[in-house]
Amino acid sequence: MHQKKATYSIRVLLWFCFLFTGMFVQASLTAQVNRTDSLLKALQSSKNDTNKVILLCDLFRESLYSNTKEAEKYAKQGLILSIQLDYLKGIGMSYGNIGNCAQINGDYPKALENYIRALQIFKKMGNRKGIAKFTGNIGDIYLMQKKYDDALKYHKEALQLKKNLGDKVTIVYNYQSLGTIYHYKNDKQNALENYKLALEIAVETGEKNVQGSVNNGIAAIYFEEGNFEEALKGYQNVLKIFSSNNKYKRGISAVLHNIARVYRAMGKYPDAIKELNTSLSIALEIGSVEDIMQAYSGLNMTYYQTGDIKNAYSALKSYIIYKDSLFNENTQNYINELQEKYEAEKRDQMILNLTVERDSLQAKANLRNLLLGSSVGLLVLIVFILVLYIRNRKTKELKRRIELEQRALRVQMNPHFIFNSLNSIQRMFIEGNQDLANDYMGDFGELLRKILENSGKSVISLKDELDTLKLYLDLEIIRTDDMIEYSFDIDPEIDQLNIFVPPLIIQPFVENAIWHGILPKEEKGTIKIELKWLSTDMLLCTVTDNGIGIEQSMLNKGPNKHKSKGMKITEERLRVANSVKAEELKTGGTKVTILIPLNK
Amino acid sequence: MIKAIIIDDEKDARFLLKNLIERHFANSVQIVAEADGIESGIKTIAGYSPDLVFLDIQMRMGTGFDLLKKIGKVDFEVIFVTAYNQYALDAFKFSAFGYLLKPIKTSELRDVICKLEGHLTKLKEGVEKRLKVLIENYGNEGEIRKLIITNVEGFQVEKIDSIIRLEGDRNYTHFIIENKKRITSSKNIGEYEELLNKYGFLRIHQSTIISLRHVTGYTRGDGGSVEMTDGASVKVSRYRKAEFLKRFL
Repeated sequence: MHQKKATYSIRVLLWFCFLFTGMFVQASLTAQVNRTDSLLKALQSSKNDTNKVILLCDLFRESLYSNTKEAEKYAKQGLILSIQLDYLKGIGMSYGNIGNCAQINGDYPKALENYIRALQIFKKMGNRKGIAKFTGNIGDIYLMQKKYDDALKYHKEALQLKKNLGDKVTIVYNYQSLGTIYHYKNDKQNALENYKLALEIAVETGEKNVQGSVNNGIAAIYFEEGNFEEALKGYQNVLKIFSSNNKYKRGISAVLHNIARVYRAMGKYPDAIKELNTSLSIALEIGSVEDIMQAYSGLNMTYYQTGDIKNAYSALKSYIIYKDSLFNENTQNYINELQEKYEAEKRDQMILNLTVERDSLQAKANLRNLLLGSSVGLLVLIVFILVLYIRNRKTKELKRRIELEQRALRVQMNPHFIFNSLNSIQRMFIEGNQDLANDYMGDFGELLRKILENSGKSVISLKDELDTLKLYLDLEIIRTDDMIEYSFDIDPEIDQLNIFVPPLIIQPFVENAIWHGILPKEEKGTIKIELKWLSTDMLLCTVTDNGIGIEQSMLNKGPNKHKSKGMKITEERLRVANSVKAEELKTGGTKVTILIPLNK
Repeated sequence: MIKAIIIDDEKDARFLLKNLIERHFANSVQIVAEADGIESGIKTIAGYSPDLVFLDIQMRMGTGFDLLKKIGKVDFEVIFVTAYNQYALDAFKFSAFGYLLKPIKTSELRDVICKLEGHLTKLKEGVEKRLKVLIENYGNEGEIRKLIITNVEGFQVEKIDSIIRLEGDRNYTHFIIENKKRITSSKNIGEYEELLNKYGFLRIHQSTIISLRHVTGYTRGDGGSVEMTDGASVKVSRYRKAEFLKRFL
């Protein structure tokens, strides 16, 4: 069961060899149904002799990709009959067939076990073709298990055997696998050499899967070497090969994704986005969740690189949605499989196995809880240290009254951040939303770092202030499930690094806009923060929202003067009277204006 | 596929980073091994010859820098990982090394991986030269002396003192350096403003950063203009004039 979790990377490279053969077979499904029918008829009328074994092998081949369970049944029947008949070749073939089924199901230890049995039988018979075939198959399993040195040993041996046999057709798969193995071992020279040998044969035999897969591997090597031109050429070659037939749509989607990666590395972001969108639409069309996820992940990366955070974030969200669906599906499948197993074979051994599996799941869950516990513990510790730190400073530095005041005012705002954020992280963990929790934790850590850095200062650079504000807004966006949108409009002539303001001077008004303006409205709201020069020594900052407005907000809150108190504090901190003004907009919403004097 | 190892003395930290990479970047990066300290790290690097090492800076047995000094030949790219070390961050930026802050954000991990993809061979070639600059800068008690300027061909090492001014040109930045040297970097001027601001540089115009060491004169005007040691005269914007004059009065 756990072997199923072969990493995506390995699968991406290997689906060319395995999945595509599958698609090939699927495409000719109709013809196959007819064949299967006639084979089944022949089976019914056949006697229990070696011909029946061969018939069963034919049936196995017909149903391997369309109905693997059925195929395994034929393989097992073939095995039993061959043993009864003492038909060695049949036993060998049947073991091999059972191994094939296990390989498709991702059960590599079972596949390996059966391939080894098959190999032993063919060795006993001295059947060189069989020996060569299964030596290669064993190599493939080791490749899937990332045991590259073993994989190399077996494929080299298989290659030599096939050379001796004069086999010029199936040898192509060994060259291809050798290329892949060397590629994974980072031996690029040998990888290229084997890929090229495989390509030569594949072109001769017209084997399109191998041509595509090998070209893909070669292009990947060029890409890793930083040779973007050649990589692009290579991938475009693959595209050409796959475009010849509608069967290869999944391959096309994946290759477009690879092309986008090259464009991204070259800095050609619009091209990358174009390719990724095409890749996405193909993936959506064929409903391949893994490829859809890959496309969204690529879009996220590319948008992020161009600084288009909004689109990057929306791509990430789509990615997470598909990822969750896949996760749920896998979990469901896994549970179903366990159920089936349990009911079909109620033997003690099986139950014992299940208990072991459950224990390991439990252990995993425990680990997760431990991790969760320790991270929450860590946070609490950080908060505790933070509070201690600020307190300590407070008692030590009683000399400068104004600075103390500044700090005391700031401390009033911090607990808000910290405890709201802790709540949100808690919620995400409970919902099992790992990715969101991780990002949130990262942002929250950054915010703590900034607050720690700024805690001793009475002023910070405008750049630091705005960065902290953006961080705060990002946290609120995640926390409120996208109920807020924000934009900054800052005069480029403002020297953000050399203008200093008291820390968290704008944040309270943004927080107000969210909590009392937008959230009560219960629909998506926008906040706009503008900064411009009023005169050469005065900045004008406006925070505009399209929320419910001041009057409604006051009604909601009841008659208190909470809001004006906040303004008063800010005015004291800025040391300018009447520097803060709030007005209700005719179009709805609130606009707060803050005058920020620059002390020379 | 980038072959990477993680060196960090905290088990949780290794687990988290590996988990993030496997879930989001399995296509680009493969973690082939982990190590929990300096000695084991050196052994693991020798055994796996990775393309990339995620290296924690503060470990119980010493620092990540100690490991790099001990190892002799460095033929892999390094991404530094740290929880809180403001002091080292500038040193990384000036030496063009990627770094990650704990807890690691997916977006930042994505950023450093994007910068490696397809560029690894070139990065590995220059890693020893960049490391030398990094250790020099870090060893100077926070006083940065040299800057690595990345350009299309690779990178150049320049003394901070010898840089006269920077000119922004859309996404590029031209460095004007002593002895009539010019380098064009593929980063935009905003990134350099943040980096150099603390080190005697000032942005006096949307497209100009000057080194205050290289100012020879000032002519009054709306914003006025500054004369530099290379004989050039560069405009000061109206709003940045006050800050500029403040540095000299």
